[in-house]
Amino acid sequence: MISDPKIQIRNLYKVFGTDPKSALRFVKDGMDKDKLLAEHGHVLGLNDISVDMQVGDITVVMGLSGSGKSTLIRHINRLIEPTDGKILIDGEDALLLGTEKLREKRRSDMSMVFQKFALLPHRTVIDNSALSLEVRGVEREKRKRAAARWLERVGLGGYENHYPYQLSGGMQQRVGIARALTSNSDIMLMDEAFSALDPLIRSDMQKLLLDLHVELKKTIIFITHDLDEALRLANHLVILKDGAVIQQGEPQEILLNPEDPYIEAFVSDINRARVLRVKSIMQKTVSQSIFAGDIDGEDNLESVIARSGGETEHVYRVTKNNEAIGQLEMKDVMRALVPRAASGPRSVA
Amino acid sequence: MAYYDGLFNVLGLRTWCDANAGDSNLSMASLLAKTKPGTADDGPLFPFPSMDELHQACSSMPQSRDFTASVEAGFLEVKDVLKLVLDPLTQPLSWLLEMALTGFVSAPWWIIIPLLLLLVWYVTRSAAVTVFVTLSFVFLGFIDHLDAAFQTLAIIGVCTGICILIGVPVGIAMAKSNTFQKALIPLLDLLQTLPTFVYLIPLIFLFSVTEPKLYGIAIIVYAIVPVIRLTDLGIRLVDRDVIEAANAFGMSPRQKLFGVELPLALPNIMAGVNQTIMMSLAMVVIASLVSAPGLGVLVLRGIRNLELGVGLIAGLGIVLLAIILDRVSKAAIARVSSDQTEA
Amino acid sequence: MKTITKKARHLGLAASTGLALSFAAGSAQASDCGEVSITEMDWGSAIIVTQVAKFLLEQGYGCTVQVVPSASTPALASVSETGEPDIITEVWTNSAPAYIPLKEDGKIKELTEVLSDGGVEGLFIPEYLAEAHPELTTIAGVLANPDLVGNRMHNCPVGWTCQVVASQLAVAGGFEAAGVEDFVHGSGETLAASIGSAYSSQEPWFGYYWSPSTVLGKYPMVQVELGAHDPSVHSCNADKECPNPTLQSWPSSVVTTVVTDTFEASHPAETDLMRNLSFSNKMMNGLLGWQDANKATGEEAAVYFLSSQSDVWATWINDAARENLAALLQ
Repeated sequence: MISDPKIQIRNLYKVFGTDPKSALRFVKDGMDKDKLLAEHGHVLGLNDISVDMQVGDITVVMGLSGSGKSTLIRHINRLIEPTDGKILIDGEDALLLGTEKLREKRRSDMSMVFQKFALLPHRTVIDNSALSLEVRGVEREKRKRAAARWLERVGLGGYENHYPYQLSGGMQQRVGIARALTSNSDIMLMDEAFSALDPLIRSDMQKLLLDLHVELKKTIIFITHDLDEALRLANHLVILKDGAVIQQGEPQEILLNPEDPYIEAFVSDINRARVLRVKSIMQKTVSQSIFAGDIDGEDNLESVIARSGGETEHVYRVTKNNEAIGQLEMKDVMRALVPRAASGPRSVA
Repeated sequence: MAYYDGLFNVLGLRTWCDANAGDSNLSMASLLAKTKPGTADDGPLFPFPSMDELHQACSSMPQSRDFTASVEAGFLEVKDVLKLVLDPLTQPLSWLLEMALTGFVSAPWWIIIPLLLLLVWYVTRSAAVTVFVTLSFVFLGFIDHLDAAFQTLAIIGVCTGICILIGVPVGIAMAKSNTFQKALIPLLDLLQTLPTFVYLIPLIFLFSVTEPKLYGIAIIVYAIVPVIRLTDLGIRLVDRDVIEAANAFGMSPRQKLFGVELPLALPNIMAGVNQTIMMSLAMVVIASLVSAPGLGVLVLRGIRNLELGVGLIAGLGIVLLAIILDRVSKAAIARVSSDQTEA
Repeated sequence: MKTITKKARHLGLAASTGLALSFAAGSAQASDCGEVSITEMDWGSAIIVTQVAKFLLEQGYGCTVQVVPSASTPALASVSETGEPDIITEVWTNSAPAYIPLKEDGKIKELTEVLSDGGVEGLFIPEYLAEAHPELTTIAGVLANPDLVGNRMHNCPVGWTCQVVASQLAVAGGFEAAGVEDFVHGSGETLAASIGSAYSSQEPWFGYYWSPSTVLGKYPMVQVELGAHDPSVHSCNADKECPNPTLQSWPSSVVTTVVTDTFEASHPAETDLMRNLSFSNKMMNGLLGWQDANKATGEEAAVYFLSSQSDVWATWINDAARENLAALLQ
């Protein structure tokens, strides 16, 4: 580790109910979600979550409804307060911040994009975009200029004086993204930001996000229930179920080595040939000298199969920037196409 | 032989009871018994143990009239303290009403009517409403009801203004605190249903009946409730997602209130203002019972003298004012709402 | 045990009463009185009058009396249009402008002055004020010392005849110029409350009221001398358009009992009773005073009158009624 993680979540618990502290004791003793609800009328939101989010990474938290993913992301800016645990942002415990300091942090260090856009309906697009600067007290002309720049960047140049109700869903979410970008915060929290959009628009937005990420290198926390989206966006993938982390790590790793029958079921429908990349299954040493050809580490297996024309004996050399970084046998490609049975939990990546 | 005699005998209170025997007045029932001995109606088979019923068995028990008398005595006790507190608090209301009334009545019609029409146009931007208002004023002027109409308008204007000034902050406070809301709702119910004269007559004991604040209070107490309720509702109904976004971007409570909550609650608040105006007009006649000038006085005159026409026309004048104010405030609401929703 | 006995007794009485009444109906009265409706206004003397009349009509004449709470103007209007109610009590003719035309049309029959001395209307000051400043008992004294009476004449509400008269008196006497404002109340309730309020703080008060009334029974007031009454100028005072009113006192107000023409024809005996039923001011004030001293209701005051002054009302009823009420007349 060169630097500490940007966000460190340590043993985070959240219980919903009238007396969360006492209900927590049962949870720590091992009571599960259903039993807690039936016997004590409390809902277990988060169960001993520990996640490191590296600076400049897109960390995707994924799970089905009720998994706790929306609850988790809201703990980072304390829209929801935890029952127990620590959240360290840049090394300092966010839970110890007083009201004023918390508000400061929300204004300058964090921004959020919401599933249902959450724009102010009575303000124009540019005023919405400039919101965080307005909250900070930046004067009008300056903040409008900054907002206009970002609106341009997300492709909404010319819509500055429109009102939200005049825009389509996809455009409204672009405003939401522009609003987050205008704040110039290091951390961007995105709560199922693309889930309310139709598939084609969603794909465009994912591409936009990846482009912006390459450009700006912000630390992004992204919530979704869509595995395809998660695999496309994530540098680090965290899978939640019933408030607990089932597995977390590099997405390709999780695909190849699911630790839990739940995840196995989850990934079973994936088009493995399209999603898996050469670099994940290649041998990292070059032991041969005769190759059928060169392939890139980022290529997916589908392209390799197409290239091989059906031959199963080929071996390819894997290069990156014209440098050999490994080799890939077609046998391994075949094997990787079949989902592996769950091998049990391994240490946290 | 009273029904509950046995009760007091059993409790051993007979001597205490009889100490005041003969103190109470002869009742009609006893007189009827004397008139037709033996045919008297014994009354219900099982009378409710009310104060008066128990008093019949035991003369030392207080009667219900003693209860009401003690409430009155209690009020007279605290009257002077109440006066000391309430009088200066409500004095500005008297001044405002007096100023408004003098203003409306002394200014000539060719200044006031154009000013009002300009105001209507500015608020509504609707030609239809402005024309309607013009015609109404022309009609009222033609039948010599203009001065009375202006007086009523002045009173309604001042009272509604104060209702909004006090009501909106109270509504905001209610929206922010569930406890406060729970405490206030029964009070609001009380204000709308308590018969006006029940608290007005005691108020005459506190302030002089010649003070405008008497009818000002009558109107405000009744009419303030809708604007409070709807401000509370409006703010509570603001989209939670928008509030969450405001919090996520670090808005302070003050920034949230003025930048997000009030603008988004405005349609509901305006609906509350509209209702407040309507209810003020509903109180016009009762206000005149406690010396408010205006169309209410004409209505009362018509009722008392059996001049049906006078009463009807003055009443219609009130209705006309109500329609004007309703249309104007509704047009204002529509303008505010259109900024926020699909055209 | 007690309940059962009582219940049996009740049933037995009901049976015997039914028998007795059917006998009585067959023998004493030639015609059944039937249902009679009578108004009850909401001030003290009127309640007593109605309750006394109700008792005598029911117990003496066998009527079933329906008491209708009302006020003069609506009652007169009702009578003129629908012929109901049958009997209207305590009409203060000075205050009911609808009265004269109805009487002239013959729709209502004026029976008698139920307050035989007539009602007293005038301008009053509280007793404590009169004692402290005796000069205020004349109108000249009031106008010379406007501050002592609070710079205001409390006038009756718009729509009452007394308001026109009092305002005309104010014009005739130059009240405004002397510093006494003519303040017209919105309702009778506020007028009464203003007296109560002034009395509770011993403050100055000057204005219109009438006697006999509960208010004057409760708060002793002294009448202000306005000058002898001249009937020829009173009609000008009672007309708000009349340009030259005169400062003088009110005439004694005629307070009457009124029945409909149909009732007079169908119930001659009962009409006679209502014709005879009348109280002097002394009697009525005595009753009102007793009522206030004993914190009694109007009904109880009527009971007091009926049980203690049978010599008075015995002369009002006919022989048949006297028989029915023999138990009380001993």
